[in-house]
Amino acid sequence: MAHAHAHDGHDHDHHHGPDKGIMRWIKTTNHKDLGTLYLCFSFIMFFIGGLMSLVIRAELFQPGLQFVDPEFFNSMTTMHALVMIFGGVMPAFTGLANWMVPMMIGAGDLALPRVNNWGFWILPFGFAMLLSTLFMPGGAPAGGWTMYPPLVLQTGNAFPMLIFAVHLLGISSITGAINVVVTILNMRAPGMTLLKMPLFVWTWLITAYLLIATMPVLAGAVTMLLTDKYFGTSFFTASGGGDPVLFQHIFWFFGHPEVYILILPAFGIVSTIIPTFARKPLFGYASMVYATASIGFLSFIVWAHHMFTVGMPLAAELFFMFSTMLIAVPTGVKVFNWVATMWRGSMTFETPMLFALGFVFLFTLGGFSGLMLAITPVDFQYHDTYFVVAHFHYVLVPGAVFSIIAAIYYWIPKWTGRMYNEKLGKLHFWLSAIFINVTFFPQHFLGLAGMQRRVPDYNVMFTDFNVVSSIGAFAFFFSQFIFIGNMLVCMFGKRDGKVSDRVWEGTHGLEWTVPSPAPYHTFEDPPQVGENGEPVSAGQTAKAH
Amino acid sequence: MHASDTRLVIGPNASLSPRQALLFMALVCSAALPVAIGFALVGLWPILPFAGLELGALALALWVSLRRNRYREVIDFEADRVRVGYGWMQAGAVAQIDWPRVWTRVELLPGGNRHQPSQLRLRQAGQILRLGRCLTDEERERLHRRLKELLPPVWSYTPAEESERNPTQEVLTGG
Repeated sequence: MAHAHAHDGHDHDHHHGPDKGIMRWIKTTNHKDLGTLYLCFSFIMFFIGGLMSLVIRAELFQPGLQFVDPEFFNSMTTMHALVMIFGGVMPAFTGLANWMVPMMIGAGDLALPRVNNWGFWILPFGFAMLLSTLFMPGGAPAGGWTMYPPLVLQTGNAFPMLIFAVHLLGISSITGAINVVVTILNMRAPGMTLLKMPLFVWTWLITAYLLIATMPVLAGAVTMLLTDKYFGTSFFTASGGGDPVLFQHIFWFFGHPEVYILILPAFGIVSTIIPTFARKPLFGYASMVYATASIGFLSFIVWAHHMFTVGMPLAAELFFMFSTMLIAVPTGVKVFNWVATMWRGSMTFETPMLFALGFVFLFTLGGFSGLMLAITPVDFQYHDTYFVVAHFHYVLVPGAVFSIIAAIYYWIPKWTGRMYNEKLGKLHFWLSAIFINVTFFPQHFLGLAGMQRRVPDYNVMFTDFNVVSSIGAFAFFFSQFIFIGNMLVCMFGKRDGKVSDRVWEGTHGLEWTVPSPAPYHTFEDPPQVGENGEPVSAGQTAKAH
Repeated sequence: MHASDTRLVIGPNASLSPRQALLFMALVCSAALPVAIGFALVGLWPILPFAGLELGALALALWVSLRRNRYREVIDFEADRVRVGYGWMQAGAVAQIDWPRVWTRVELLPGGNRHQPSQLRLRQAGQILRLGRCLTDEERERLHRRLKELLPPVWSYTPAEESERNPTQEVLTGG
């Protein structure tokens, strides 16, 4: 729908460009502006969360206590996770959705632009509140991002701030999810049926569904923590008849779908990039959609694999073990399809493709260690060790973060009209791919040997692997400045030669029919999509070129 | 109510029907509500109000979006009058104009630059009404041609005899 209102005042200035100055960014309802804001915000958060990880790795460089006291170390592990998950990965995917979903489905903007603005601007306040706890008496939350009671109830003044911040971040996520859902359902261009939508749009639709289904559980859980601490309730307080383990159940009922919220959009990105650089259509499009939906469904029935060691009936342990293993089936379908897409393709290895391939290879490694953790008796040995840390970092860093980087390299020529520096991009990839393995691969061995997570000191026998891991972490962190520099040049550098509308040779889809850089308002008139999912509206295409 | 010989109905592009929206709401509720109710039954009632709030927000968002789908511009051509009404279906027209048919002109202006859509306008005695913003450029061109047929220059205008009229309704939706 281009315009619902033909005669209201809003439309009189609809075709103007953006406002000037800071107010453009504060008042904007444009999906591209808000996408940029989300992405910039997420990179600030990645930087802050990255600094926290360096504090952790510096402390773990040697056994004994070097730089920080144990309480602050625990604050760092807690805040690192909260910042990276809620401030880094989720806003980055929301930013990508803001930029690309309307362009991919031929819509002019998201369905609820003002809600979009509000959803973004909640985030800085939420994180200001969360990060301010670092300077409070009693320090920042240190009970882990999972906020398990009774430990988290011992948090000092930071506790209500933590709960309120989580609520704000949840509201932001929900507004984003609702906006994406309504946009995808109601604003697709004529001819763009559900099974012609790009995979990135499909994965975001399912992600939004998961967010809507699970966020109330998190909101309720943290509210009950708050009432337990301040209002005398005993939801999770054993002395009052409550059950602390029940919190773990409801947290992970939210938490496991959250894991897929963090990875499904990555699947969509990789499913977009690989066909482009293999110059072949995606193998098994429909099976990819069904696999994504299956993963979404299974994410609701596997939560207790995070807490095998709390003591569950054998039948429950078996159920959660097998249901978790079942996830390997649709995930395997996806990996198979990516590989089959590349099979006999005319492949080239530009930076987005390198990161996508890095994703496929390293995410699969993370998936395999996940399968190991799914085996209940084995999990009893691995639980709360560095093996778990290695597993989820393999899934989240070369998984989610690599896909975000790949997406930015892939789409930034469309956003800015300038091509990034390919040599620097490749250097960035190789440094990232090498040092992410240097950082996290040794942690598998540390975990198998029995090193516990969330502990600032360790037995001297773990020293060598920790030294390697810390060196890798610092090198990975500093490698990312190549990326930042490359992107800043794209955004603000000298304009020496514009890229074409269809930046990459093997691209398909509506987003490549608009000029580069994409105009402030795209698809004022919805384009027409043909049988093969390609645009057929001659007028629109002519205008775009 | 006057008998019109031709009626043009213009509406926005929409990919969601109310039935599909209900189906989607049912799909979301089928995941969120049993969980929230289940937790409430074991005593964890605070999840339920959050689920209700969130589902309410989703329903509101869908309703707002569907409401926009109901926007229509209706142009009725009578022997000597042109009536244009616009508003939301089932809510009546929010505004109407009633102009003499022979003095009403139609014009199609190209967009200011290649990113701007064209403008289709009806003019009469210094008054201007913009039409068909929810259509594509091509559809506006098509509508422009049709409107020119229905609004010929005054010197060539011959109102049809009552008996010759063959009332028709033409529906144009965006995209």
